[in-house]
Amino acid sequence: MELADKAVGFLLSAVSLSIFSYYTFWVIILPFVEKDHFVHGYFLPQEYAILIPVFAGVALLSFLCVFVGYVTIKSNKKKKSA
Amino acid sequence: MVEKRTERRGEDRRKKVSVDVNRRCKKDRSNSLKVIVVPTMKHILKIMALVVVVAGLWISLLQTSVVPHSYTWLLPVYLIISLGCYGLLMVGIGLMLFPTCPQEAVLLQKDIVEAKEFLTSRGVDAGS
Repeated sequence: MELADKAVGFLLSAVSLSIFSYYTFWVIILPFVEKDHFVHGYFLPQEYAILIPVFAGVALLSFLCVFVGYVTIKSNKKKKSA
Repeated sequence: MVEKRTERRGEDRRKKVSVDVNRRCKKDRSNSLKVIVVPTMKHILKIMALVVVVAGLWISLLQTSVVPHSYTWLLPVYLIISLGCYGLLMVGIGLMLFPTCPQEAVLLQKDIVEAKEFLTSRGVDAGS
């Protein structure tokens, strides 16, 4: 049981560190690199650096709202029937 | 005989407890709601005020050309994402370093078995 917890914790921290380093490199270091360097092939164009997080944030917010609405409607139905 | 007496006492105690709970529920409902709602309203106002102040600071920095205009959206989004990453990292590290107490677990199991034996010997139905 502890091993599963440790594995999940390790996975979470690895994912967060990778996302942070990728995003830092993308936003802060890449503008200072010359246009012909090969590293530019591994990163999307800079506009996507804003679009993707905003899109993910909007999706998360809408999912939360839908979830809250669903739970509220369920509890109201229960109150009516009970 | 002993069992009957304890059963009756248990019933009276249960009745008293339920009546008290009803009285408490009926009396304090409005007050408890007020106590719950008011702090959340003030808390949200605080958070919104903080967001407005930070946004104002950022816009003033942009207008006075201290920060180049290409960073208009990049830096706030970057800060938000780094904050989320930091939170996730703390959760992951906490999960990894969570202390389990194997000796306490064994002792607890022993206590459970002992209590079950005691109760079944006294005639109480201790579940699974």
